[in-house]
Amino acid sequence: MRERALDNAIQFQDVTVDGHKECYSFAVPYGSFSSLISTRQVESDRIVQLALGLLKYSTGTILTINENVAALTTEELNKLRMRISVVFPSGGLISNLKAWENLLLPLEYHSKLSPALIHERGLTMLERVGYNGELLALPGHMSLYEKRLVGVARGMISDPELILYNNIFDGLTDSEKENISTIITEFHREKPGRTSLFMTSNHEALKEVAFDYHVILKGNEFHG
Amino acid sequence: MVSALTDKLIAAIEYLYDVVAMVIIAFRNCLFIAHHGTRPVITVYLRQVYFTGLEAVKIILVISLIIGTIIITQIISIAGVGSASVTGKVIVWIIVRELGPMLTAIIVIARSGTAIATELSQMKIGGEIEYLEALGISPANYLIMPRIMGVATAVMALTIYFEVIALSGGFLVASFGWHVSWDQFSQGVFSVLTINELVISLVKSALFGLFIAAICCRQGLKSARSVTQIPQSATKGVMQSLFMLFVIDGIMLLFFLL
Repeated sequence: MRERALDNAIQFQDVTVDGHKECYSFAVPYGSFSSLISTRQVESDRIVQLALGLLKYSTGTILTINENVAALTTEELNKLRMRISVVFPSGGLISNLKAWENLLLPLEYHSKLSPALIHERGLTMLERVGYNGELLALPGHMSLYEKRLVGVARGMISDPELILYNNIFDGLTDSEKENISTIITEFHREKPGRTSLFMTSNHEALKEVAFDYHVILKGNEFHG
Repeated sequence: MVSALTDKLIAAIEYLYDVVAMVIIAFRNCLFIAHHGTRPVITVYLRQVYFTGLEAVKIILVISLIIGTIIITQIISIAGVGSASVTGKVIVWIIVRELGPMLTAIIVIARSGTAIATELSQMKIGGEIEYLEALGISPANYLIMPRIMGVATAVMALTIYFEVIALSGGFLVASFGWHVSWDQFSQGVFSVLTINELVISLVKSALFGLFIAAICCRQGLKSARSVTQIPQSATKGVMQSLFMLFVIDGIMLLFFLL
């Protein structure tokens, strides 16, 4: 088994991307409940892409859960991504799959659990996030809040080591934000060592959650 | 001039390589389906078979019946009523060898090829390919492979329906219009309808299906992040698929019949 010297769940060291002036240098401590504050949403989108190996970078080093993403093969990257969940601003749902199918997709694809167990876990997750919408609704017919709830439930269903919440409060009412912040805070505390990174370009969103670590964009650089 | 032609030739070879590689990767992914995403991938495959195969049955039946009727009428008007064996041979050559696989594939391009290119293009523009990758799901395994296999299965099944209905329609018209008996008709048809003919027809339809889906998937996934690319993907997918049909048909003709 690979030895784990995990001080940081995510570490960016002097990372630059072709065509962009920003230089990213920051670290998110392992097991922390952190926030990353950027000036624009596109910035946090790029951080997610880089951390998951979805975007190539030109200089620097990125370690995600102790893995150098640039050195991994496609198959190894997919294995790494299975240990991480991302909740995208739109929920990250697939438009031709129903809410229920979207929720179960990662488990059905990756796990060897029986359909009954997957079904049961799906229902538990939906109950936990308080989703009251149609199970068979397509994302196009769901509200932004419903899409985010299903996205959060899908992020939690595979019990990840690292979970990234990308601008998930934008466009929600106060009560909706409060509900989601309660869910993600409880989920973080439930498993020791789990890292949660909350990314936002809206400082107001920080009021909703009590973070224990902040990464803030200063000038053209991120500092942790 | 020479340099421009060379560039075009290189681009064409690269394109052909891409499409053939997609088909080969789809077959390779089939072998490993038990390792990753068996249930969701099979669901996508079955949906593709349903959409391309089952939902197109009605239109295939109507068109094949009309085509069978037209061809038998033309043959009898040229060869005369008494020449049942010639009629049978010509109808088999035209329908089983050529029109069955070709017209079925053209209908599939019009219905499903455009749908695949549009759907994948929309997914690409909406960032959904990235959402899948973020979940550790390979688009080649989850999106492309079941579509390629689904379309190939559907085209093969629809070709069989097309040929059976066209031959039956031809016989009915010959029977009612010119009083050709079943014995006369079947004698002509079955003297040339060998296993070899059926295998060539099925291989051709399978190749058509594989390449239609691969080309349309490629076009869909090639879209940049602009909605104006969606109709362009569909149009290019259709045109390139049609061109590929004729190329494959020509190669098959050379390979099997000469």
